[in-house]
Amino acid sequence: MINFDVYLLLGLLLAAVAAIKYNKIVLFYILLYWGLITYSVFHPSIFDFNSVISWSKILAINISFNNDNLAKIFVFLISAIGCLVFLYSDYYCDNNKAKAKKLFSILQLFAISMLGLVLSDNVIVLFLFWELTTVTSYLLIQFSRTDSAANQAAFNSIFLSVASALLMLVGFVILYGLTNTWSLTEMALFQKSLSPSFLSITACVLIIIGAIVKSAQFPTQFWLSGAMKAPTPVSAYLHSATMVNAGIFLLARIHPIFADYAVWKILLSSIGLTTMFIGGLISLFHRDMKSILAYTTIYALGSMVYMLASNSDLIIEAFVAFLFFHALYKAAAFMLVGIIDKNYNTRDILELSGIAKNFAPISILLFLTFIAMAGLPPFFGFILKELIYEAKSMPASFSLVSMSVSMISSTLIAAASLKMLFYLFIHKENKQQPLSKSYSLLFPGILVIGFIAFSFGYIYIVNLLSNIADIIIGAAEQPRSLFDISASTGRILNAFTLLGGLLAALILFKSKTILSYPEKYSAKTIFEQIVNAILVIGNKLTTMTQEKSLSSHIGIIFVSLGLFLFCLLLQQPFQAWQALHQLLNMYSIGNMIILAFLAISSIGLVIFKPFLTNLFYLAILGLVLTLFFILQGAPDVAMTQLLVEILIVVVLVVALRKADFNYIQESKFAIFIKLTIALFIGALFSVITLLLENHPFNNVISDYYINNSYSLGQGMNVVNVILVDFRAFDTFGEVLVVATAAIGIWLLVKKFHKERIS
Amino acid sequence: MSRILQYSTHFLSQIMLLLSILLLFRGHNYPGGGFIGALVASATVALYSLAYRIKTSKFDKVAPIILAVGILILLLAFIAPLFYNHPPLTGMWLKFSFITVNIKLGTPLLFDIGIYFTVIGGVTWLIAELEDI
Repeated sequence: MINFDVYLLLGLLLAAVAAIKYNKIVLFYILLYWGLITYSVFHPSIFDFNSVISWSKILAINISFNNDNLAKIFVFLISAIGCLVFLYSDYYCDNNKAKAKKLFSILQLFAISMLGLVLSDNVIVLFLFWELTTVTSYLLIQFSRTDSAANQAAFNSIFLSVASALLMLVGFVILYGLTNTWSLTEMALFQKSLSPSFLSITACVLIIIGAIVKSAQFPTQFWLSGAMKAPTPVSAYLHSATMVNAGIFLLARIHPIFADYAVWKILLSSIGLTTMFIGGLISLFHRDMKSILAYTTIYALGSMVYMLASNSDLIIEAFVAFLFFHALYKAAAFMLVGIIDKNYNTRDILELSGIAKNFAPISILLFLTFIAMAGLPPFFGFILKELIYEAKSMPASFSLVSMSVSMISSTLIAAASLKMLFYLFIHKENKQQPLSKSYSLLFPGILVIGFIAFSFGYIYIVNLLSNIADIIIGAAEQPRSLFDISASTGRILNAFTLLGGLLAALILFKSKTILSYPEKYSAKTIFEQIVNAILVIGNKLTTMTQEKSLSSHIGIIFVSLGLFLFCLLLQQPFQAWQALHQLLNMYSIGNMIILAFLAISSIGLVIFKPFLTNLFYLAILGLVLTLFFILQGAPDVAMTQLLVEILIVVVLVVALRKADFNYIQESKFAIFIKLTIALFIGALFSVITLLLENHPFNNVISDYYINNSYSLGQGMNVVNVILVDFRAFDTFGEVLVVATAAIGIWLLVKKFHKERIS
Repeated sequence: MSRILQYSTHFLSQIMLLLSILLLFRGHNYPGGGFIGALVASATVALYSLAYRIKTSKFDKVAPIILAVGILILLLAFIAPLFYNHPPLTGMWLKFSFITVNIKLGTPLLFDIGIYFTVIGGVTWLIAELEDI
């Protein structure tokens, strides 16, 4: 029994190792890791999923896992296809060690995050892994950092993903408020008992938005086609089998709670149908094989979302089967396209005409994969479409519009796949050349064998499919299996679709046209224009509201804030006068000496113009403050103040010693105004500080820390114990701020150097 | 290129580095701690670079690595309690006595060491970068 959390951390360690050094041994350990997870799908007792770690007791957030059959099918896809993808990446990197290190480490990180996503039971932990997949997929899309189109695509994907994930988080929190639990298994028990109200419908819509953007539905589908700039192993893994299925997974998990809502049905079916249609249509417009595959994936995701809109157990079973089948053939298709790309250096179908003429292994695999994609017999797609049409034509779920849209989209997809087949196989010249490293065909080959086996052996897992369907819709009243219905209507409709597809493919192939649409109306352009507009508006607002000189900017803030606080003080004139009196009563020798030095340094700071003189008086000011802190009995603060003062002076001297200062001569009037404002604000804030000091202070928190610092924190220095023990998480954040500041300065200096050279 | 400064830096920097490590380890019971120790060490680096006017180009490459090591140590202190079935960032202590001295080692100390390295890396990187302007 391996503790699963430990195993996850081990996976992170593997990613770190792969980042430092990559060789076949590392590959072996990665395969061993994922092989064990694949094995655990069939023998779940290897891993101990029940150790619940409580992350935050107050908020009741626990790191808990849920390993039911729905999760298992996703885990199988992630781990099995993952193993093949890792092997394929080894082939793809072609002994380029630097590329392999980067690809393997980030891919391993992504795979771990995806694994955590599908296994997590707590929605906050799910959100954590969701965002981790977003970040790692950004790094993978942006793999070759010099390609500006890839940078733009990566930006699009992360912007949309993060914005929608934030909305989704709000939805989760609302759901917590309604159900009082963070656990998905407990939420599923609320099936049919959470009545539609303003709050629950908002939660529903927000979570749907998060899932929809992640699964590249309309109107955000363009990020997936842009993500094709990533290396092919990444596309084979993320954009076909795992990451885009994350949104689908989430929808399946919350299906029991929201499935009766009208909002759910309308939103998901309309978005799903639109996406299906767009995917089908635009896949005919592209020449790059990867783009065509991207749009067929968009079609498949759209159809899965559409199937999730319904509450019928037949359609949900179809959804599960299609999910599995699609992952297999899509990953195989991407891998084959990658192999072709490596060997012929192009992915354009017009240039690749006729490369697949003989019965070479690659031709067989290409033929089988694209036939499966088109939905032709004997593969599972054919059977599935028949049954889906039959299920949808039953009185409970029939709708003319949706039926026609899905038929047209299937026709378009069949046309696109068959068109690709025609281009690859039929042409006058035979341009085939022997493939280098033909062992690479083994990996898509295994996937092809997988989906062939699935097509002929699905009857053995019918029970599993209906069990998963039960998890998704809750127990049905009269469970029926998809494969028990007889599909006469379905067969006719399916035949129509396939014939239509064949016809369209022939017409398009013969006429050698690639249709196109104007780029300026595409969703991608609209999105980029919106982002641009936001930046432009932000710029304009800043220039409108900010003064050009720093002193006038600060002056305005001081005057308005000061007047506001002064008016507040006027309401308690007596206490204010008492505070001022107290100020004049503090005459111990130490305080007087400190006051004298403060006065000298402040006046020196203001009178003298040269920069180094100012720095000198600033240093004196800082040192005197140190003395003040010591007299007040705060040694840690005093030490920090002293050291920070020294470092500031050193850094300023070092940075500005070569700088050229123009000392402006200011008019007497300007000096008078600035002096008045400074004195006014200084006096005001002193009085307010003294007033606050006399305010009764509730000692609960400080007493707790002082009393428990030795017993709980094992230390006598309360300040340090608070920093590194009681409030360690805050300190972590602060330290990250220091790190970010250093990185920011590095970037700015780099940019400054670049500008100076050019 | 003041000879006096260079000569005194030669001695002072040794003392200051020892002081910074001392401050780090005594921080839990007496005034001191990770931040303060790290600032003293960074002051040493600043003093050295001012006295010898060396182009701190080596620091440009080394400082980010120190920063990264510091953050990794922090993460280690973060997730170490998970291995013992505690929530992340719980304080766990290992107490033993060495002859007559009682020694307590714990995750807060590890956390402090992580802060130490991170702040050293961050501040020296800052100084090294700004020197080039």
